[in-house]
Amino acid sequence: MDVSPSLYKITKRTGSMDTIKKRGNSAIGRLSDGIRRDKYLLLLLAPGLILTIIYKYIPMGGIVIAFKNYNIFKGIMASPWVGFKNFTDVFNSPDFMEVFTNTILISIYKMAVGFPVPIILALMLNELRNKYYKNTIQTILYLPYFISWVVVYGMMLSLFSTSGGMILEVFKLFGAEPFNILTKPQYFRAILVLSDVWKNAGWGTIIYLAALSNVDQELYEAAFIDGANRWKQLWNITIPSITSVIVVLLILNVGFLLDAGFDQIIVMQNDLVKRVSDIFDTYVYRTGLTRGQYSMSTAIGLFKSVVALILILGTNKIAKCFGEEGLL
Amino acid sequence: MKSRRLKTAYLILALVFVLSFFSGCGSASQSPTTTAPQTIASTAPQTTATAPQTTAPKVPDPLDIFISERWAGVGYDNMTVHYIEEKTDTKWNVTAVPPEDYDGKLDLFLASGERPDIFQNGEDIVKYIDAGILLPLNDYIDKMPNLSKYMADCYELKKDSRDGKIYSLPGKADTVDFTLLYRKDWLDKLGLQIPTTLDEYYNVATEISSKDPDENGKKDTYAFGARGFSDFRYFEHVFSAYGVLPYYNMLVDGHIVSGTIQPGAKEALKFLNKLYKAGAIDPEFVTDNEDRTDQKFKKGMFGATCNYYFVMDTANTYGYYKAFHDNNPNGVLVQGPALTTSGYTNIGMRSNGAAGWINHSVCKDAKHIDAAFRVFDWLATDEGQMFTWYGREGTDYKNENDMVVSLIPQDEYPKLGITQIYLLNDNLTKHFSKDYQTVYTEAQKAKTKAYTDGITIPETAKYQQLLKDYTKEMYVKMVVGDVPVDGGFEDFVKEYQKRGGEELYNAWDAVYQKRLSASK
Amino acid sequence: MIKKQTLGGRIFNVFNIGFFVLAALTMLYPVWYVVMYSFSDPNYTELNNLYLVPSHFTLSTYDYVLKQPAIFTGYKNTIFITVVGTLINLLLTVATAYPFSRNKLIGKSLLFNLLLFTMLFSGGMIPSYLVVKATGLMDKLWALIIPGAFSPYYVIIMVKFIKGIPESLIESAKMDGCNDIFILFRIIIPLSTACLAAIGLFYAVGHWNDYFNGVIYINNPDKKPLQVILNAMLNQNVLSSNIGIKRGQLVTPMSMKMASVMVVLAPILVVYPFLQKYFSKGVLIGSIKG
Repeated sequence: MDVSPSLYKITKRTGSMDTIKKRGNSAIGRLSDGIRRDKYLLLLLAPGLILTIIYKYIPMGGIVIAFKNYNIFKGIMASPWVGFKNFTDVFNSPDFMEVFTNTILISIYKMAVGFPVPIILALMLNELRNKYYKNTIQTILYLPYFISWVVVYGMMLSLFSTSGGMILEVFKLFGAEPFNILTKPQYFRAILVLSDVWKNAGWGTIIYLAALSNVDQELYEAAFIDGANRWKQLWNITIPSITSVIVVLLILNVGFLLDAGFDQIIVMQNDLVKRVSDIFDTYVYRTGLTRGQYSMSTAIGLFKSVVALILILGTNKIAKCFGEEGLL
Repeated sequence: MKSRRLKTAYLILALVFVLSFFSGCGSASQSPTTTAPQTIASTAPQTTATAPQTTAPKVPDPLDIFISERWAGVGYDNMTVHYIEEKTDTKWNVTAVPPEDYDGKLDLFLASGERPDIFQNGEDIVKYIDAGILLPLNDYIDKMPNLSKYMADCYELKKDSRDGKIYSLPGKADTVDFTLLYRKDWLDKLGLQIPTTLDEYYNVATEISSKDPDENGKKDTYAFGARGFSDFRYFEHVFSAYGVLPYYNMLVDGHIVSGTIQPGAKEALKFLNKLYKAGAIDPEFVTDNEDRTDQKFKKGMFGATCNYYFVMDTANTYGYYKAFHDNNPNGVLVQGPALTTSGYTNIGMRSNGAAGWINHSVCKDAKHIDAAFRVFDWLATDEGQMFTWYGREGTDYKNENDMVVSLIPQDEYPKLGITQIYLLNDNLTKHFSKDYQTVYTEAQKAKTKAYTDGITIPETAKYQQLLKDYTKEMYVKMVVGDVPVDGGFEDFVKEYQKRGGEELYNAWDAVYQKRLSASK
Repeated sequence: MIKKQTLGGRIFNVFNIGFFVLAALTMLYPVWYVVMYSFSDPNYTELNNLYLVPSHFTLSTYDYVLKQPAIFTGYKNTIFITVVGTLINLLLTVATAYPFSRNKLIGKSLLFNLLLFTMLFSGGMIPSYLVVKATGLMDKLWALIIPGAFSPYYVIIMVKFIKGIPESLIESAKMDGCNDIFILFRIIIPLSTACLAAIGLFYAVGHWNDYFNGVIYINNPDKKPLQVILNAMLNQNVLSSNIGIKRGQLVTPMSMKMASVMVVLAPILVVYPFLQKYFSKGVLIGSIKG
């Protein structure tokens, strides 16, 4: 099965190495030549790789408990195999399909709004001429990121309160009948998306601002001399110079499609909107599906990882089809 | 040692980094005087060098105790611990974990092969029993005079699990937390009596919410509010009148059944729906969190509410009493009797159950079983109980008119460790004022019997949360009318059974019957 | 540089400034709310107060929070973890990213996939715990630094930034006989300050807010990071009210939450302006070229 272009590449390469081997020692020779040539680069990679192997790959052996009925007192080895039972248990749990759909929908909505907004904000910030004004605005935009959802929700309850909340008082001035907007399924996803964007968009601009600061100023000067206006400069210089960063962030974000915002939803949801807002993580947490059941939580984690891997490699491939560089 | 070899490897790597940097360019013209790279390169070896120096010296042969943390970040090297150590001739090595993360951390601790002498557990105890790591305590308890008296006092069932053995010492707190409270000043103003029947209650609730008894011209008074059904207890005065309690393991015809799905629950939901439509329940009960319900109570927005008895604590221990009376200078809260309705017998208020609280177990492989029981036995004495709750008599507290009066400010408690150790925790009421004592005693009179107290079955871990979550959702929907109670309740019951309700209660009943026949 | 403004440009400027003023107001408000709330006594405040000014002013919340002796231990540990951790994070991230940004590297895609894989797959809590324990890091602050010493996510982003550095600079350094490690420290790092500042900020905030690892790997009260202490402080309120042993505790949970937001946020607000200069536009490439 060819799910991964880059993994495919590896097999292709090792395949070709086999054929080379038959022709003599040149494969080993090429390898040692390569190592000699890249010795400093490999030296740079070494600390990271060593740590990765010790703290990521050794524990990764623990993934097998997804296929076992893991008992913490028996240990991983002695626990009995159960095949895909943990997975089928999760998939067969009541409401699973509903929760799965919610997760994907909320995630897509959030991405559709939440991904472009920081880019636009960063581009707009970049157009601000006054340095002090720009710095002040930047700092303020980051602030909501640091306010926890519990506190944000507490504020929302006050603002949306039917007994004297400010927003509903304003509604009343326009003759609207006050109602508890947080309990209406038809609005709730929009509330989730908007509050998420409001909270995180400013923080999301940081990486784009860093990318924008790397754009060569001489290009703008040259364009200005050529008579290009700001709009043209934006399209012809600014955006192309940050496209690779945008693409790589898009690919990575798509990978986390099944993480639709646990911290936010667990705080904000209530029983009347649960059907439209319950996502994978909140469902699993609230129903105690994984409480003390490590095999189950590993199975869920593994499922999410596999989905993420497929999505990332898929998006990467699509990006390459569009002539972009992709992840690497 | 593996870690040492690893650190040497880091060191060598860091050295190679530095060397190759300085020998980096062929031409000697590049002098390495710039500071930036140097600082970065030099952080690496430092980090490895300081690491191994931080191992704490071990106390000789201490009693390993694994408990949930009482005061954030406050250690256990204090007066209380040393006092108990001296009294029981033990040395302690305490690992304390924030309560929220206690279960997960305990699992990690046990999974990595640690076996503490004493550890706390809660609902997860069945896991440890099945794994066979717990010591059956029966014989040890019998040998300990104070402990056996304590167990006889607080724990009528004496059996803890499916095999009839006791695996944990219960925290003695089989109490009722909620009681029915009315705004007497409002009732007087509206010319109403304290209700005794549900019909009268309905009348009071609707009058309170519609007649603006606080006279501020706003519609902001309600019979009661809640936080959804996260805490079923805010609705218990209604459910108990219909002879059920949601999520209560009740006895019907000699069998354990779920109160959630009894016919009485349907009637209660109908009644609540009627109250909601009449505007007597705060409509924000669906979204409110703990902070808002607290704030609303203190503001005096609720006039006929089921609430914690300790809001009546005249000493203002929980901060409710003073805030309520400051906000409502004329406000008078009084306790009301259990409500009745024809055709049903009031079942009373939910009891916490002695075994439902934090329990203490001893590991089978523990090295200091005798020492552990010396500690338990001392803590079970009257002296021990008073000490853990109030400190040293004469220094930290004194008895005055049958009431305990603290001699030190409350801020001192963490430093001294008072209330930090509650191995056997009792809900001591000796510091309550007379009025508050009365409220407390009245509240306890309504206590239901906890039939399944102490029964541990694996099905709870599998279904309990799942069912509770589903029940909460459907109950809220029926109360606000999103799902009609007629017909909707029947569908709910069917689905409830399908989602494991049947299996869970069959399992509970089976153990209960076994225990019953064993005790005959 | 003075640029001639077109009418459209001017309209855009006005719109742009106006937009950000509005956006900033909506984003400033919650912080304002938190500050004002933390100085208010919610026991006596009207419900749904907007907290434009403190209502029933009180210092009791801060008095309570800052009197907890553990708070300052928490600060000390968290500052150590954040400073040392971020430096190690950045060093390892750039050291790992640089080789991947080269066109030629032996086994490049294999090694890259090795990293990418760890970003998505993890063995779970228990195996990680066992490895950390086996490598002797338990109950040491290093347990919060070493196991997550760099994130593949930021390595991937860093690679993109390094690729933006003109190849000619690196080629000419190579011509001078410089090796890759020297190039990394003398060319790549100085030219990536904006990216390093951004990623460093992410890492630092991650360390600053890290709660989970602190709970798992630290038992010693003297080693607990700030977030663990704050969280336990908030929860001890809840727990105590459940088992009926809460005494003399008159600070409400929400005002404690507000005060603890400020405890966490204040140092960040103090440090951030010093970081901000590294985000300034195009400082370096021009200067190196010149």
